[in-house]
Amino acid sequence: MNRDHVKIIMFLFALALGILVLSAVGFAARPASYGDAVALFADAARLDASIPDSARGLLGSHNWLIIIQDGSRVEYYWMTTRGGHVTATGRGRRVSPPVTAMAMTSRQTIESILSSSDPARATVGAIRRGAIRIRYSSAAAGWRLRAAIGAANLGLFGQAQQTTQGRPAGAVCQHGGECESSNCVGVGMGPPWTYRCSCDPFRYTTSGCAVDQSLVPRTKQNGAVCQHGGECESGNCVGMGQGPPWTYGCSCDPFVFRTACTR
Amino acid sequence: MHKAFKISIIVLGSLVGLAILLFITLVVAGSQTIEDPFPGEGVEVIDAPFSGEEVTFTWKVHGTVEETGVYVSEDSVPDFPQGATPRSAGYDGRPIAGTLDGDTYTATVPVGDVAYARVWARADGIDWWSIEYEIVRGVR
Repeated sequence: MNRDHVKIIMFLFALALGILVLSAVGFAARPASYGDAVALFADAARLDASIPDSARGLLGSHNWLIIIQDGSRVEYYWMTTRGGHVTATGRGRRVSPPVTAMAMTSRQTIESILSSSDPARATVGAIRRGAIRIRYSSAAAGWRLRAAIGAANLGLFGQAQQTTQGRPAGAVCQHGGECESSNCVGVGMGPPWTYRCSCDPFRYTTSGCAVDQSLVPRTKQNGAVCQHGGECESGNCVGMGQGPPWTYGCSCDPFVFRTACTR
Repeated sequence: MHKAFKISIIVLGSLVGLAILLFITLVVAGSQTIEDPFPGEGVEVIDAPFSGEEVTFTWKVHGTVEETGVYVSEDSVPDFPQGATPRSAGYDGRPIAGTLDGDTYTATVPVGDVAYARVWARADGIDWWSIEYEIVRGVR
């Protein structure tokens, strides 16, 4: 197993952590907003389908309680995973059947990760800052995920991302958080190396950088037909009228179709 | 040959020991604590399904219950402190009453035009509220 293999495995761990903690971040169809993430979480089958098979081993079989705390406001969600598959999700502080794993974060952390060009790296950064915490009910449970979190806490993952705006590929950098791509890699023969922002997390290249969806202009006005929230100025794409099937339109409310914003 | 075998065993054992030590270090470093912020008083919402033709809320009330139910509204009602009466919080009319089953209450909310709901209880002379729940319909 060479260094690249280790990095790839670590990266997969990071992906799995992001999926688990957010419980809604499908990398195939990434939510554009917190409202989108909650909507995705409401559909257990769709959430499950968005999880890569490589991450399922880390999800295991647990009854999850997910706590989103912002000051005095606390939202509770629950999720059941069996053999790495999400089998049911819901809202509320459901403690029966007994909770075997608990995750805590904040809405601000989730929004920060969703707006990041590299959610996995942003998730690792959040774990290292303590903005995402996971606890299992028994010492033996979740050892694989716990080891991955330990690796993140000990700094074995890449540097935490500090911002979603940053330097373009090719610019000199100190760490990934300074780069638009979140990747700061050594260039040339070393040591010592010069570090520059790169499109690829494992080798230096300035071509093929993924487009940061958070920076793509959202052009559609409220009321316009949409495919997903990322197309809308409001970030919300919700069903209109009676359904199913629904026609989807941009809305100022993340949960109900409205074109006149009242709050 | 015998000495080489012993050295191999020692090296192999050391590697296994190091691997176990590394694993234990990682697991310990990854073990975290969480304090569930639920205060143990007032309204404890156990389940609040996202969507459907009807949404059945399930909750407990900690304390001696005088009345409890679900207030619904078409528009979002901004957050307010615990203890606020329904009228001062901005709700008119009566709540959808909760039905007691064991130590939990349930109430079925027809989706219709309802978009937001809060579970409310008056217990021990205090008005307790849950957070506001959005009722999701066909969100994508």
